[in-house]
Amino acid sequence: MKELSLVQAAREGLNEELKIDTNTCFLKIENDLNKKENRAAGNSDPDGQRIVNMPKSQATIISSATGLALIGMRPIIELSNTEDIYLSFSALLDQAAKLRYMSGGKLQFPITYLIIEDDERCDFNVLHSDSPYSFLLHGGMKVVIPSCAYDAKGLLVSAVRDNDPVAVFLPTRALGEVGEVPEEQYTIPLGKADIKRHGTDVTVVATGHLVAAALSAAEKLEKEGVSVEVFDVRSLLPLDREALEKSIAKTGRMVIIDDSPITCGFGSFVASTVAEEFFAHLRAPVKIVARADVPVPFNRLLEEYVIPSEEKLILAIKKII
Amino acid sequence: MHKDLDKKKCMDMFRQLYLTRRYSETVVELGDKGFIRGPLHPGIGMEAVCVGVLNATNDDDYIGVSHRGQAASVVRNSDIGLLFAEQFGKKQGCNHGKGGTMHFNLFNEKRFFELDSEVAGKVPIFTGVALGCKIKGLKQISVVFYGDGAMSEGWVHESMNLAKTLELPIIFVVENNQYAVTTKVEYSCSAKHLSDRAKAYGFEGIEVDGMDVEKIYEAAKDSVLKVRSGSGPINIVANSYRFCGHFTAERILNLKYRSNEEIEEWQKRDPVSTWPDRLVREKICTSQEIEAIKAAAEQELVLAVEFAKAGDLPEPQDGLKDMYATEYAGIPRKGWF
Repeated sequence: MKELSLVQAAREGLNEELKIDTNTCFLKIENDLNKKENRAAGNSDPDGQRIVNMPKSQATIISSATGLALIGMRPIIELSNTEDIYLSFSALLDQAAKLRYMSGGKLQFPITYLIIEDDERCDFNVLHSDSPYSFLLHGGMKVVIPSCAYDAKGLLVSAVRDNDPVAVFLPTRALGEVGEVPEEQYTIPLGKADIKRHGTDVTVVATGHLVAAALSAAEKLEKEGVSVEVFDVRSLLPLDREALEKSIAKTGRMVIIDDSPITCGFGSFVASTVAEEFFAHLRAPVKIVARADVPVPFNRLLEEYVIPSEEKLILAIKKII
Repeated sequence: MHKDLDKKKCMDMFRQLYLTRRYSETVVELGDKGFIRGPLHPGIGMEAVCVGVLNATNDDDYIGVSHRGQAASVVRNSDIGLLFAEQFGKKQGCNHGKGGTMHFNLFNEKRFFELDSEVAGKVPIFTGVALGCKIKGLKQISVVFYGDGAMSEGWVHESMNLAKTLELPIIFVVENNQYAVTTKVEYSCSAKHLSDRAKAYGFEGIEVDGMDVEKIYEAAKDSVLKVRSGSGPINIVANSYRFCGHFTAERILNLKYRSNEEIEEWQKRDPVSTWPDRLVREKICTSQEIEAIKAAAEQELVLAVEFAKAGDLPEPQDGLKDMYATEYAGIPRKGWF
């Protein structure tokens, strides 16, 4: 075991895959090698050809990855702003996510989109703060969000080896979180959630950096006699509905904390799934802690008010306990 | 006549022009009769561009075809019955009825596919194909077709810049049919010559008469040679014309955006009649040989349509298949209980 930050672990997984599989390639946007210690970018180019620095043409680069996949490659693209996907909807959702289906299942597109902020600093302001994964889920794209270093490496490797497009969101607020990572290779399969803390009174379904908020809330609530189970989604699509049902069957209560907006966001999707399929297990209404339907404002006080937080989560739990 | 165009090749190119034309006309007829659903976007009048360029490529070069590029299937010798069956929505269609008109995908079998998307969407995809050829050290090149309307989309510019920046083996072929739906190219493109776009990005742009299959072949042959040798991208602008409307629905919309005289002027240069006339005039082949090609093509069409009519409809639940290559329980989800 060694200690790595979340972003370093992802980078290690990426570098290993680039070395193992000569059909992989890595496309970076405006990103020179070794520029910053914390980049998810690889620091070695195994044969001098497969790591390509690209001009900032996000939509074209994402679409070009579809072309690379067409001729048997396994491209990985690093996007350093989550908003890059807004420029690239057609490339992601009309092309990569649809072309296999349109071909009648004849083609496959093993593409990994590694979507991160390239700095640990937050305060990114209105246009660099979105968590837009719900859009991709809407187009049927596989999406994973690791919450810790161990998961980041294991999920990234699985994403690269998956034969479909997979978006890996590395949560900005957790990039620097340090955790133990094995020396040897390992994978974490898509579609498998992880119970980060066992509990009996309420299931907190959490994604990305909000898993830490959920764990911290669980710690505090334990002192008040409330036993919280922290359910780290890890894989948003495919979603581990089996584990979700098991957890809710045990606790009978659910609060979802997620960084996408409340309207048609991932939290609302989980709530609707549970209401429709697992209603019989519920002993209390489902609660969602998500973003307000506004952009993230610049002022820190305003920002904290509109985004999900540990404090809001504790209030939500208390409402149904 | 170009030195590579011997009698066999000349006659084959006529077969391709004729079969493509008749295929398109037959599709429109079948649409009118209700066998094919949805609006149709034939490239009647523009056949020479695709025929000329594709004959200059190798069969293993990668081709991104525009939504009016019905000639690609014919030139690459795929069974046109698979195309009709696809447009009929049959199981036997080249994409099992999932892709339909404008989206024929024969990439695995014949190294080309047709994609409408936002018209220019295939341009960056095939720029990626060219990048893959370069990374893998393949000898193949990438050729992508798009129209004068698509030229206004951002990712055409981005792709041209990227292709030159990375010196990719790609030919950008503009099928300039003069109109983006109803908008004339002079209105939508700020450059006086469309090929100036390529010059702005630092590579060669050539304009060619898109009604003359020999000239297109010649331009493409030279370009393929240069691009394959690793000298970076080239842009071919083929000035052509569609005799039909933008799509079949145009007939009932009664759109007035060009005169009959203009259409008739271009029709005088119709490659499907001028090319065989020239072959007979220059004694490359006889008019009997031309008639024999037409008769064989008609027969091929009849058989292809029969194949499509006899095909099976897919099972409705197949609508949930083919979404993912790596499958997981529970996806894709149905949209109901």
